[in-house]
Amino acid sequence: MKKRILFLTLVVLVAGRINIFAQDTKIRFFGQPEITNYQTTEKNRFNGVSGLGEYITSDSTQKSKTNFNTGNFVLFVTSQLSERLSVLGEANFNNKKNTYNFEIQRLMVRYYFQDYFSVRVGKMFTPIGYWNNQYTMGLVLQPTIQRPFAIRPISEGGPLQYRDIGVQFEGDNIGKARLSYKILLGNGIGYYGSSDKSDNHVATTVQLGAEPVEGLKVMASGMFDRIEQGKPNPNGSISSLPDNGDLQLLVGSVAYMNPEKKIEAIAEILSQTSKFDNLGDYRSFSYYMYGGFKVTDKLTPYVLYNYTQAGRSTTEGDLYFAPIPVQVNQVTLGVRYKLNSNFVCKLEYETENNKTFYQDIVVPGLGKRDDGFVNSVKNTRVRMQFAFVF
Amino acid sequence: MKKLLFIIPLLAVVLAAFRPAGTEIAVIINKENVVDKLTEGEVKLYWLRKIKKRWPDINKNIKPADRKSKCEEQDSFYEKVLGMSSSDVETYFTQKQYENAEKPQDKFASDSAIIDFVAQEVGAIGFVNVSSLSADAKSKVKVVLIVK
Repeated sequence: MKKRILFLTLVVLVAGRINIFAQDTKIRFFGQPEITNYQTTEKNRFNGVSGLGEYITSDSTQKSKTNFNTGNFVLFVTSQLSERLSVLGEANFNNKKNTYNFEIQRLMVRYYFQDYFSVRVGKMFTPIGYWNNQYTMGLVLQPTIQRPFAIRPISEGGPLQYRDIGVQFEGDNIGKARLSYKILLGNGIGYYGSSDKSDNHVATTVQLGAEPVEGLKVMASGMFDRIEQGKPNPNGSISSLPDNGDLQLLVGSVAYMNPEKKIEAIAEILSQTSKFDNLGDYRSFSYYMYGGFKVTDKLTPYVLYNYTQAGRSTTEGDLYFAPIPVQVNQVTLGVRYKLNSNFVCKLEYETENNKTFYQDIVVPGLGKRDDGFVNSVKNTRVRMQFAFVF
Repeated sequence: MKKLLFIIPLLAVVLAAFRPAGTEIAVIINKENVVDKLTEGEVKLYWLRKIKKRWPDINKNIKPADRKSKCEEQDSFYEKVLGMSSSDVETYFTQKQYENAEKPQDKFASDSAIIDFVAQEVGAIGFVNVSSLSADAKSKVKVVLIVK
């Protein structure tokens, strides 16, 4: 299998090389090795009797480790096939423990009719929010080491279907306010072109934006999808969803990222609603704020704050996203050193408080319902990333 | 001491007066392009393909031409017209390529190579040192802006 992947990669690279001259192909590699020192403190506040019948008020554990990670290695190819037709391919490689992963992140064709109308077909980033389309795998472009928790992909416990397969209609720079729009009709959450869909629903993602001042982007995005009974929920905490329903993710974004200015800022707010046909509505809510200040052309200190509430409150979970209510508070202080356009070094200190609210616990044998059990995990991380593109 | 105080400012004024002038840049486009003049602001928007991706009227992709490595002409163009550092320009095109599969700028080793490219490509826009614009070069391309 490994040999086959290697062979396939070589074929792609050689084929790309041959076409460089004929079709104006540009090949880039993104890489981001990372060093992380990680400390976690886990506290359980249990005002009563545990599941094993012991009376516990609180306990805590602490651990620390240092990791060196290779991060992702991304092969990124674009080619201008004609005046109006371009293609883009993006594949990433990474290894975790002893496993090697290879994944096609994007593979799409874009046909450009006019400034206000073009079409993309294939696998692409979902046009939801600002961050998702701007950075994602190209970490040399991303202002922080990791994306904020609020917009992490489903595979990392977040709410975003960050890419999808489908067709997208888009246009930008319309009128003086430089209006833009993107409409993606795709497979939806949990489907990557597999044939296991049981109905013909199509997920719709819509993004409307404006750039009234150079570098200032204001956007509103919405993703509308269908929840299917019997399927697992996105993060796998429920193996079989009990009901059908509709899913709605709304995102408001404001970003001021003008390379000519010293100040940079991004803020996004997300609201997710799962409307089950018979089991009612559930909500989750998140926001994050990023701010940076270019001290010099090369050096930018920055701060990132994230708040996520999975479930409407600490006593009501979100049946679809996180059945047990979770609160995440994340503060990241960092500094970015841009040696040149090809190499960026980032150093971050991050604290993350992750509280899970277990409610109404039935104590075995006693039949007593406890009024609360809070699992509080505090993570502190010091991370350093060397992101490059060539 | 008084003499010294007089001589130093005088020297400074004289040196400033005889400082070599900054590189004079000509912004050039293809002869078939119907555009005749551009302001610095318009050159910036076109060269960065910021608002328009295609030239009006001739309906061709805008193809910005750049120098391959750091040189006076590039420094002058980036500073006076784009108001951006070379690192920011590279990041800008990488970002555009990453987000929209847009082709980044074409790069050339010399002014003459840029002139040849602009002469061949109808949608091209480039910058060269004014001193590189010989009579032969002027017959091949159209100058739309001189930046001093």
